[in-house]
Amino acid sequence: MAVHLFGIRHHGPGCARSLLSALETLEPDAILIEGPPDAEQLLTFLASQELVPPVALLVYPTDDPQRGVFYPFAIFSPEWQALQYGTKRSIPVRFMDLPLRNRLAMEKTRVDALAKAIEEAKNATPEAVEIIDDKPLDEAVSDETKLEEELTEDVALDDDPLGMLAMAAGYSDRELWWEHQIEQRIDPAGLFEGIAEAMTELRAARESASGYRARDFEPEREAAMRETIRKAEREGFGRIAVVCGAWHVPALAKRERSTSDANLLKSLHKEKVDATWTPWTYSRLSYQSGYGAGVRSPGWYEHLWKTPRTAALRWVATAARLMREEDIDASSATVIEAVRLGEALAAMRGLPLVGHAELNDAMLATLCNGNPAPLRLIRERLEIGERLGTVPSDAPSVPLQRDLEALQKSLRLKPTTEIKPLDLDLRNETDRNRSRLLHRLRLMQILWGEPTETRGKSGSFHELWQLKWQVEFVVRLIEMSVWGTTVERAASGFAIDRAEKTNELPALTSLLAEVLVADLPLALEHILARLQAVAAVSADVRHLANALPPLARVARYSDVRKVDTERLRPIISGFFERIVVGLPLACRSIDEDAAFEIASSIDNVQQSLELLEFDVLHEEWLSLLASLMDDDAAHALIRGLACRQLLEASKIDDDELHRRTRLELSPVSPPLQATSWLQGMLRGSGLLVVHRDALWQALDRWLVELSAETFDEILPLVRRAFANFTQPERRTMGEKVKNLKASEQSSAGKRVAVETRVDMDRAARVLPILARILGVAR
Amino acid sequence: MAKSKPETAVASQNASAVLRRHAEHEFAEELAALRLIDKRPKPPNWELSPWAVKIYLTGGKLENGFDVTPKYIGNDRLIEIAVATLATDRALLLYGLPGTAKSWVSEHLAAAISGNSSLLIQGTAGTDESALRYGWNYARLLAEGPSLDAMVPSPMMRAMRDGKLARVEELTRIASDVQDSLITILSEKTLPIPELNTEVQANKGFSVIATANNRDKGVNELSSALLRRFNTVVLPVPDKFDDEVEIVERRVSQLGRALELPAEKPALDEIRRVVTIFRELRDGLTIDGKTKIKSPSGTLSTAEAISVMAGGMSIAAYFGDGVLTAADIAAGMTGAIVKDPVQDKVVWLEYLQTVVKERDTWKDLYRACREVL
Repeated sequence: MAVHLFGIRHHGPGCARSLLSALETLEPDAILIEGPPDAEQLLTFLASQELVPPVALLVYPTDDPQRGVFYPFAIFSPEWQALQYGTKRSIPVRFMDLPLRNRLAMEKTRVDALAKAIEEAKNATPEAVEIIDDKPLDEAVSDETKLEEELTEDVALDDDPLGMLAMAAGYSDRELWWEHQIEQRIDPAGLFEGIAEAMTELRAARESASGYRARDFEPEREAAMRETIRKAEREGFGRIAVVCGAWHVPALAKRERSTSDANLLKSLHKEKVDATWTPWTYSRLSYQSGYGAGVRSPGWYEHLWKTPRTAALRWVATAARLMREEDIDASSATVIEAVRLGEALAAMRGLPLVGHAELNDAMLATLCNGNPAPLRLIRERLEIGERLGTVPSDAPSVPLQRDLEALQKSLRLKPTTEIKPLDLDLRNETDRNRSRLLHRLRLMQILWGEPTETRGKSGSFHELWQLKWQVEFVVRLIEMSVWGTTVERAASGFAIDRAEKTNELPALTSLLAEVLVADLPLALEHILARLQAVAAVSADVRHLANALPPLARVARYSDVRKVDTERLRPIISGFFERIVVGLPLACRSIDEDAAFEIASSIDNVQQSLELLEFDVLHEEWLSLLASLMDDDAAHALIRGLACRQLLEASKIDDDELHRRTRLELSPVSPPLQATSWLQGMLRGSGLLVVHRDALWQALDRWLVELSAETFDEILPLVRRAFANFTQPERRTMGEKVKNLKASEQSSAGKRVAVETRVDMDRAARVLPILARILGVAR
Repeated sequence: MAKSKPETAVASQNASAVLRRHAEHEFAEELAALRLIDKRPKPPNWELSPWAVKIYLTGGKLENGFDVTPKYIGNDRLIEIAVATLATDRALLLYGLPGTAKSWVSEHLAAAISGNSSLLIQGTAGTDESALRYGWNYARLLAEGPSLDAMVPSPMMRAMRDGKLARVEELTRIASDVQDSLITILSEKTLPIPELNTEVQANKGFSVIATANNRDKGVNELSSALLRRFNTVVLPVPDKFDDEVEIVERRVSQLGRALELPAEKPALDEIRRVVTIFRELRDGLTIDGKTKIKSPSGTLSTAEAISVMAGGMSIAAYFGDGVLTAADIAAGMTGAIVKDPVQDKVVWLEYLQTVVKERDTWKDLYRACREVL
């Protein structure tokens, strides 16, 4: 028998090592790997120094990149090692899976049929729509991910052959079982025979079980693999190595009925597909990012791959270095203790080698002193790692790039390296789309367009940009293609990732603003959820208040952004409740600067409430302001501001205003405090206060009664209080104050004309000079 | 019975009259059964193999059908780490909130490993060096001068001599300079006696189990030199909601009997509510996992939930109609949660507003708590 089957588990370093040593003994003259034949032409890049894992093969329909499928490879993936082995020795390497051009076409037919069925059902029974509406469409959406999962074989525990073995062995965790059984195995002999035997048993049991249904496309895929093997045999290769998922081994061993396979494959649909290499990241390879078929600790596996013998010691030492970098104590003595404890644990658990779980437990007890926080750091930075692969620059361009090119073409925005201004009128559709594209690119830190101040043109529907294309953007695009195949998807994916990684409310709020202008509904959903979670533990009222306006804007103009307002309301109310509870405390014992910040936060809340028109909240807000106004412990600026807001809401009348002003500006209260109050009171438009005589009288009396020194001291502050009013407002105020006495006297309110008195004697003295100038005789 | 008889002076005392028996006596039968089947390698001077010690603590059925009761219910891995630590002759520090079974685990570890859990040093602010090292019998010291006979060995010294486990309770309560006398013992495994120009070297099997609280105020934090000599295992609060409800229910009805409260046994619903609130505030997350909340500064341990319930019962019995209502526990609960009058009050208010108020069947509790605040 010239065909050797190697059943492996994707991304297993132990498997990779065993496979490599098996290949070295076998010295095959051809290698067949479970992978998409559509991407075979890309195998030439394997020799390139620039192709550094983790990378992924991306195969996608030419006209619809969104349905693309990724095949990730890490350095410790058995497939990658087999590919490298073949390339280095110039042995023919082929992919043998069902071509994706067929598979994607079949997927598409199925989804279309489903959509059609829904449409028909809708027409037939309109009332049933609601029931069936959501689910099948959801399925269609998740199709891509499902496909990915199937391709890389192990899905849920009960649908996973190795998982079933792990359960039979009494492990609840298949990863752990695999690590103990395979990855820690020192002697690889007999491994692949063992796997093949186990899988044969499993498949036989499963296929004879009632209700068995082959997984999607499994018959076609295995038929295609068998056909490829047969073809290689016909071509006369003597020692063929076949590398495939363990599950397929039994099916590939039986290759008798040749015609049925060919028949099965004959009449399949086809679709045009393209393929390329893209860089991949370890975080996308791990479970954490929700990628179903990954490994939990890619960093650990890479470590195991590189230093199998001294893995434990080196791992703890690396962790200790990382902790030191983060200013956490980690001495060498503790490293020794961690390794010792790990070994003792392994012995207690009856394991041949110290595994990842033992090392984690040991590091927790020694290096971290029982505190799990540093362990999380190790998990993020070491176990998963930040590694990003690279691909050769001459590899075919990624779909994201093509999508951008298509957009640039349809929006008539040519990328040039010279600086070009661009004036967009958001009322017309093309310009709106252009703005959206530029914002989305900015979100991904591709700063093609730089927004500049709108000058001259009034209204919010104008955007001014400066465009400058830079060559590095292409690299950035390739990196970003990890997040999606179109500009919209990539921007969404990247924004969601950023949202997940931050715990800062201001960062989330600014991200929200960016996402809003970039118009990414999917990312918006995620960010809102994150905002809610982060707000709950946020201690800073200011951050909460400053996050409100963008939220209010979304809620208010939700019809444009297509966000579910019903979901937003509880979030906003939650924010608001927290602000109401926290605000009184935040206004106490603070200095001038902090008071100004709180004041602007209060303005933000006020604005948001006006925008929202939630009556209940507004009432609650006003009663909070009323209590703030009376709160002597609160900063005077805040008291003034509260008073002012209530005045605007007509919650206090002239008499009350008079009383308050006199109280706050009485000679008893410290002048600085009074000035602060005044500053708070005079925020915003001057029109509201200009006709409140009571205010001006009290202000006048207060100023007059100040001592000369104090007056000098507070003059700049009082000036500042008035500085923000417009010129006409200030003039009106000035006249008001000038006539204050007069208006006070005329209680009926009638105006006394101010008569201009002229000193006739002094006026007469200029007359001779004037006559001379004018040349008139006296 | 145990092969090695405990060498305590009170061994002759009538066992049934003792209020509380040592673990190695209480569970002598289980230890003997384990010893019978234990064929795995034992570290020097250990009564059982590490594997058997783990079974003793976490419980399980032996090959011969004997049932070992679980002593610690929770994460088995923690017990594995603890046992493995002692097997590598490192000292073990059990760290955690009050009421998380630290002393309990420490006692049972000592009983299973050394067959003696009575080599105990209680840490207080007044614990001095002689409690950790040795003291003198002054009458003999004056009469005979310094000699081994005039010396009073501490439990630590006895443990070193016999190769057993010594236990230090509440390590962080001991003054820092006294704590540091442990450093030599733990790293050099020797206790010098300069007065006699000699030393006591630890025999194999000696190690130290210390317990410490991580929520107490006014404690002496361990110096990093000392901390480095311990492997730390943090014992968490009960993991499962139902476990905690059961613990509270059992303890509350015991307390009710002991105090002879005429109140009815509290309804399970009320216990569930209190446990829910405590867990949610402690975890900073609602039980359904959907809403995040802030945590107050207090511990909110299971023990405190028990005392809230007991307090509520006595209010109901002596001032109410004997039936426990929300109003009876509101004051106790607020007192347990609001330890810091400013910060905790905000947290508690926020929790009431955003969580309690929203729950339909909790309206009575919400009103009662708002009244108290």
